[in-house]
Amino acid sequence: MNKNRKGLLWSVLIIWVNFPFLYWGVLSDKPVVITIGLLITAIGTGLTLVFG
Amino acid sequence: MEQELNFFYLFLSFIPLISILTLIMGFKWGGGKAGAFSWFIASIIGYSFFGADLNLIAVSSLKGLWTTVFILYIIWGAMALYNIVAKIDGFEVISDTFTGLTGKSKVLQLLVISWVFVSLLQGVAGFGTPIAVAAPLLVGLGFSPIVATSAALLGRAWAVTFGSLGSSYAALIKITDLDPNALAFWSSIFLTVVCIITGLSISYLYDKKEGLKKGTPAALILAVSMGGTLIITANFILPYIATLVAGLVGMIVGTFILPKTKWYNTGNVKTKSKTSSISFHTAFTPYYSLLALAFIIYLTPIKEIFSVYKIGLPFPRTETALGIVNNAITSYSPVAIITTPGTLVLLSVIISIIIFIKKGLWKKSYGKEILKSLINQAIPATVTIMTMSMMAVVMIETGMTSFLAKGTAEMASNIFPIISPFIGILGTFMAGTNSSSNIIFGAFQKNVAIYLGINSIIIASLQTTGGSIGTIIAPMNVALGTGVTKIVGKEGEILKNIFKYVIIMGLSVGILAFILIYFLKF
Repeated sequence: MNKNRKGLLWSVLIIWVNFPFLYWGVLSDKPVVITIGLLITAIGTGLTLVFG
Repeated sequence: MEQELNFFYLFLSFIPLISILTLIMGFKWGGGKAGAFSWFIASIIGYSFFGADLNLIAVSSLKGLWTTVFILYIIWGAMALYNIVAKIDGFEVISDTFTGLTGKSKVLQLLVISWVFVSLLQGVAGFGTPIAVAAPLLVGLGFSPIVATSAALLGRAWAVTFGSLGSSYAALIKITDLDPNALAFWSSIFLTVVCIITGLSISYLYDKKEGLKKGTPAALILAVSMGGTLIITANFILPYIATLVAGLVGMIVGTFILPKTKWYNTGNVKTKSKTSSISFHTAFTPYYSLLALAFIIYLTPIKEIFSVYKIGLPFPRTETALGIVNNAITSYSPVAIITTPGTLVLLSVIISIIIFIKKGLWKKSYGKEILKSLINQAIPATVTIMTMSMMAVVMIETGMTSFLAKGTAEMASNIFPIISPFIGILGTFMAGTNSSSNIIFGAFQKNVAIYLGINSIIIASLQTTGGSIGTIIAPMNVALGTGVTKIVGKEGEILKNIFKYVIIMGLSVGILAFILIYFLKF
C-alpha cells in the first residue's frame, strides 16, 4: 500500500474511532468533549487534505 | 438592506459548492480532499455567519457520517464481491462467453459489450470497473480506441443509480428522506428514457446514420427489455438489484435472441478460447447467490419479520442564531441491519468463498490479497463519501441549503425541472460519482421543489438521473477510459465525442419532467 492510501486509511480510522467520543459529547452536552471531539475529527479530515 | 443581506447569505451558501467545483476541476484535487476542504469551509461559514455553535457543527457532522454507514456497507461489499470473481479470473470467462455469443454483427457486438455488459458490471461493481473491463475488450475485438472508450463511457449512463447494488439510490434516500418506493418509481422511469437514448447514441457513435440504421432494432429491443426489467425490479422486487437484473436480462436478449433475428443472423463467432478451468456458471456464482438471497429475503415474509431490527442513532435538537431549528430525533437514518442490501452482499461473499473453497478454486493467500486490494480500491471512495456527506449535512442543518434552494427557486422558477438533471450531471462531473452528486445536491433539489410547490420526488429522481448521466463525462472516468485503451491525451476528443449525448439525455428527462409536472399535474 502506498503512502497516500495509508494516510487516507488513517484518516478514516481516526474519524470513526472518534465518532463514539464526539457522539457521547453531544448526547451528554459536554462542551469540552465536543470541542476535543471536533478537533480530532478535524485532524482526521485534515489527513485527507494531506494525503488525498 | 434585507435584500442585500439575503444576497450576501446566498453567496455565502454557494461558497462550499464553488470550492468543490474549483478544487476538483481547477486544481485537479481528488473528491476526498475537496470534500474535506469544503467541510472545513462549510463549518467555518456556518459558525461565523449562520449562527451555528460547535454543538450544531458536531451533531451535523456526526449525522453526515452516520448516513454513510448504509452506503459504505454496500460499496465495500460490492467491491469485495467483484474482487472475489476477479481473483478466480471469472470476468475473463464471463466476457469471453458473452463475446462469443454476439455473432459477427459489429454493431450488435458494440451494443452488447459497451452497453449491456457494461450495465451488468455496473449492477454488480461500478466505480470504474465497467469501463476498465469493457473498453480494452472492445479494442481487442477491433474497434478503434476512441469508439471503444466513448461507447464504454456512454453505456452506463442509465445504469448507475441502481447499479453498484443501489449505493447511489441509497444515498438519495438517506439525504432527502423521501419515500423510497416513489423515488424508485420515478427514477426507474427517467432512467429507462435514458436507456433508450443510450442504445441509439452508441449506434450513431459507431457509424453515424448507417450505424443508427443497423443498430436501431437491437437498441430498441434491448432498451425495452432492460428498461422494462429495471422498472419491474425497482418497483416490485428490490431497487438495489434493479440494474443487475436488467443487465442479466439484456445479456440474455443480446446474446441468445438478437443474434438469431433477421437483422443480426450472421453466424456465431468462436471465442478466443483461452482455456479456463472454470465455467461461466462457476464464475457467476457470487452474483447467483446474491440474486437468490435477494429474492428469498425480499419476496417472502422474511423481510417483514427481520425489518424490525433497526439501528438508528438519537440526536438532540439544535438551533442556529438565525432561528434554523433541527428537531431532536430518536432514530436518525435507521438501518435494518439484517435485511439491508449490505448484509445480502456480505452473505453472498461468505457463500461464494465457501463454494470456491469446496471447488478447489480458493487459495489461502486470496483472503489477504483481496483485503489488500479492497482497501486500495475502496478507501478513496470511502473518504470522498464521508467528507462530502459531512459537508452536505452541515450545509443542511446550518440553513445554507435552504438559502441556496430559495435563491435558485426564485431565479429558475418554472423551468427548474429542465435545469434539475443538469445539476445532477454537474454534481457527478465535480465529484466523480452518482452517490456523491446525490449527497451534495439531493437535499438542495428537494428544497427547491418544495419552495416552488412542485413534486419533490420527481425532482429528486431527476437529480439521481442526472447524476447517473454525469458519469459519462466525469473526468476520472474519462481518464480511466483513455488509460486502459492506451490513448492518454485524447480526453478532449472523447469529451467532444460524447458531450452532445449528455445534453440530449439531460434535456429529454428534463422536458419529460416539465410536462409531467406542469401539464399532467403530477
